[in-house]
Amino acid sequence: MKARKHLALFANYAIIIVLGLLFILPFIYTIYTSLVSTRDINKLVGISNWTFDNYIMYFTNDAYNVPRWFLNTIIMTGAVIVGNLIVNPLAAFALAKLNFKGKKTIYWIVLATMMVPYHMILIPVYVNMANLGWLNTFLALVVPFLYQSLYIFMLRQFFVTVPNEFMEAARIDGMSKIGLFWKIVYPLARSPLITMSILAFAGTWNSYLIPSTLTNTPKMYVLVVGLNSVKDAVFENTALIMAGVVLTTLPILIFFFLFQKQYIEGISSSGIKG
Amino acid sequence: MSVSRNNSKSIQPYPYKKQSWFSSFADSDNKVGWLFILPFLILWAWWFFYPFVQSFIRSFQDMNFAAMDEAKFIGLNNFIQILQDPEFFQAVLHSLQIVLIAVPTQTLLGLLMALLVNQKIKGKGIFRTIFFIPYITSQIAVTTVFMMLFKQGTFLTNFFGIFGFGDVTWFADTSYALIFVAILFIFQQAGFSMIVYLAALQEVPKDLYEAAGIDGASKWDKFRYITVPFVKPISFFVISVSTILGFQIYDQIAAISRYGALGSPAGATSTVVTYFYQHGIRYMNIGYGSAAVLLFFFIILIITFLQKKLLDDKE
Amino acid sequence: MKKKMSMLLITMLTISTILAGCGNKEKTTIDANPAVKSTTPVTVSLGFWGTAQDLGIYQQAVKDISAVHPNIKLEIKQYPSSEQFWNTLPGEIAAGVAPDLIKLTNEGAFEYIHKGLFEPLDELIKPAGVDLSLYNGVDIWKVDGKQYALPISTMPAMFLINDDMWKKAGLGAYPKTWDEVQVAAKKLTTKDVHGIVINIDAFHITNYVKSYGGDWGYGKTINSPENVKAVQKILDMYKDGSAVTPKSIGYGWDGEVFANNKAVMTTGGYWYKGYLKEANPDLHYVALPVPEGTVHNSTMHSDGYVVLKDGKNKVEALQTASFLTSEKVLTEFVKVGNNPSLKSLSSKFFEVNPEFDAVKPAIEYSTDFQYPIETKKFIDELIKQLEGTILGGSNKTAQEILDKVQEQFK
Repeated sequence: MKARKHLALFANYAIIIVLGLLFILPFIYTIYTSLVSTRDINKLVGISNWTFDNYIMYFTNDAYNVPRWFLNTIIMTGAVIVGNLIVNPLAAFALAKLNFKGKKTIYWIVLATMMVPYHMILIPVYVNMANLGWLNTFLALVVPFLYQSLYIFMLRQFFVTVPNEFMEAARIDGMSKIGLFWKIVYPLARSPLITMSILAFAGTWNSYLIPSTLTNTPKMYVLVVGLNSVKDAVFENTALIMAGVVLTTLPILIFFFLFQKQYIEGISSSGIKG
Repeated sequence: MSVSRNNSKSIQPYPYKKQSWFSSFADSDNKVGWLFILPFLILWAWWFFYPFVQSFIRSFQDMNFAAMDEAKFIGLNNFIQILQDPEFFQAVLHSLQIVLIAVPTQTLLGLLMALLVNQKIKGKGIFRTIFFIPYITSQIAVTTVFMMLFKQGTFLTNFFGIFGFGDVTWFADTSYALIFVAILFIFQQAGFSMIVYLAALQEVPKDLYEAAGIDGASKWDKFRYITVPFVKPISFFVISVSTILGFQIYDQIAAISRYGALGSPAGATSTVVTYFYQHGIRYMNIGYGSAAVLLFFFIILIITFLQKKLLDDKE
Repeated sequence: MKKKMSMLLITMLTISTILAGCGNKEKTTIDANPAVKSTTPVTVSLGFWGTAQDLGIYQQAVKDISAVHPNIKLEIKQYPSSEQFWNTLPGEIAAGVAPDLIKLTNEGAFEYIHKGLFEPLDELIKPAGVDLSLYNGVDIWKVDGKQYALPISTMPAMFLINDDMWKKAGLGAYPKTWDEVQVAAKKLTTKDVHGIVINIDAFHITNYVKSYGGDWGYGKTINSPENVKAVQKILDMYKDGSAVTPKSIGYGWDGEVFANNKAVMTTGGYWYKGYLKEANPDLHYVALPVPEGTVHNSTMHSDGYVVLKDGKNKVEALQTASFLTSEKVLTEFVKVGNNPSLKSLSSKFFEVNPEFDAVKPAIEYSTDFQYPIETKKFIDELIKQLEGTILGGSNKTAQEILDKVQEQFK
């Protein structure tokens, strides 16, 4: 009996370790390659041969303005997350708990929008941006993305599970619907909101198609676009490119690590499952 | 959906207060509902619906990207041409193939990872992070790295050689290129699915498992009768989202096709999106490209509708 | 209820239309009288894609131009790649934010000339004070009798050999014909190294085609017997294992393969010089004219400055182009391997780039690419068919491949 239990446990650990290795392998490769010089890639060399030169290159080369790209990306991502934290929950809550005329239509609008490939509207958006004079500005990178149908849908699914007793209780306490939302339901949604933020962070930080279309002056590049332009310019210097990959990913990782704690707290402290 | 007249004007709490305009407004479901919806709706109409309509109109026009003022109305001609183009159907086929391979795989993988990480084991936080990292990495970065790893003669290709795969550069071989793209997608998307499933799994009361265990339920029973019902609703979300994203894969294919024709090698990775890029942007035929994406949208619509019918038992 | 909904949506649409339209920029009106030389300060933007070295030269030009043209302010815009450039340019034109002046290559330019993106320079030449007789390669940029670009450089394609590896194999004299190349390639191929890298790319294929006396004939002679012979030779070299394409060993283009010592021979061009300097400065290479199939012929590459039809300040743009092709600036480009179009500098090129000396004769006989007008479509189709056989095992013959491509261009 006990042997079976141990075997099951062992198998459990084995699977997760194998999977873990598979998933971490590309990153180990990336980090390693970024720390060696071009000559040494695809070979295993000792620590003494490691160098930070590739990273330094990004920050000292005048042709690229990596700090500026970092800043651009932070501003863009920050604004988008803030927007999403406001617009999405409002709409999601309305769709989940409030009865208003046209609710069903709006719901279908949200769903249908999710299914439209962005490429369908990319060019009209581009031309409209140009006509507004918004090209190469933060407005272009931020305004159309202050909401996401996907996250509205996701949050709506969550809000639906909030028991109606909350609503009743608040109403009896004399609170308005608006107050109810901000003071009670919004804090309850901490866990999904953090999840949404993490996902929105990742999606925005890494987005390539839209920033590269709507901005094309190096001053306004975001990190991914800028680093990609370096890749094109430097004749496939693999080590350098890998360093670029690490630079792009590091901030998100840090953000994720920071909020991972909150995420757990949020989950364990949410008093939903009474 | 029941429409309850939740206007609390009629039921005032004790002691009775006089309601101000604001509080009656703020109590009305209808008014507050619309207030809450408004930000989304304005942004949507401005930056989605209007461009959508523009694109829709253009699909009925013969428009050169570089001379957009000189567009001519040509009715259904674009659509007819597209439907007569074998390359379009090949592109649709590839889009479907990618989705059929990648979506179930990453869904199951995501669920598996969520279950694994949800247990009381050492280092679950680390594993959770490891599984999620690919999702938050830039797609181009992942593609670049994988292109290094899947080259002819690397240890990875040799490893796969054991299972009968040829010693080739995966993204340069017409038989493997599509699978390569699917792998890229799975590698990144599984992390997202895991997070979503994980959130859903948190809702499962832990005592349920214990109670079931006391009642003599096996691990499989616990999974089937406790976990699955909790996980099923969100599965529709996971599957439909990853399907839609799977159809929109572009950056990875563009990265592979660098220096060559989009959809390389030999059109093996052509999808409807690359078809749109090829005709709409590269050949500057915007009307034609818009028509192609419109057709594509309908395909996605149908598929999502089917998925909802099959998977979403709510409402 | 439904009626109210649709009313609401229509209102939303109207609002958004108004919002979207209210920032409409006026399309800039073009200067009606180009003969008047304005002294008001004018900004000319130049778009190009190229190397960091190119960028450096342009940045210097930005500083120097005010000495010659005090009223012109030059702005440089570098595109990451030619792909990026052609993908974004139409959008930029549509949006009115395209550069005024572009550095283009003749490979594929004619598609855009025919689509009317560029301004014929004939009317602008006098007001800009440009003297075409100073330049070589002027005719390459003439279409239907109109001049479309100011040539920057003209250079034929080349054949490059990794000298160390060649000498190590003890093969003696360098090959002059493709048959000799084929024999040598077989000898040079080992487990890790291929004798020749043949990038499945229109540029390279066209050179083979020309060396067998064929050409695309602007789409009319795609499947001519000469072309078939050339493509067959390529397929043969793949078949006997001595040829490889960059992609199948995981590289982006032939230069990478060459620089990494994975192939001994390749067709190529002057850009190899700048590239190899950075990628593998220890590589000793030898540059030769493209080998003969049945004739001496290869592609002639030409860079030129074109003025966009929708650009502002066209005269000043041309003046800028003329400045950028003046001796001072062009000499800098010579140093990175460009064969300048200025007649006065032509001897200088081979002084500064003696490694290209053997290619000199090719200047006389090299010809334009002659792609069909729908160039992008042609290139995509050609590559697709070739990749199908070379990378996909579809086993078509050269005749079948070219026939398939010809079908698209009746």
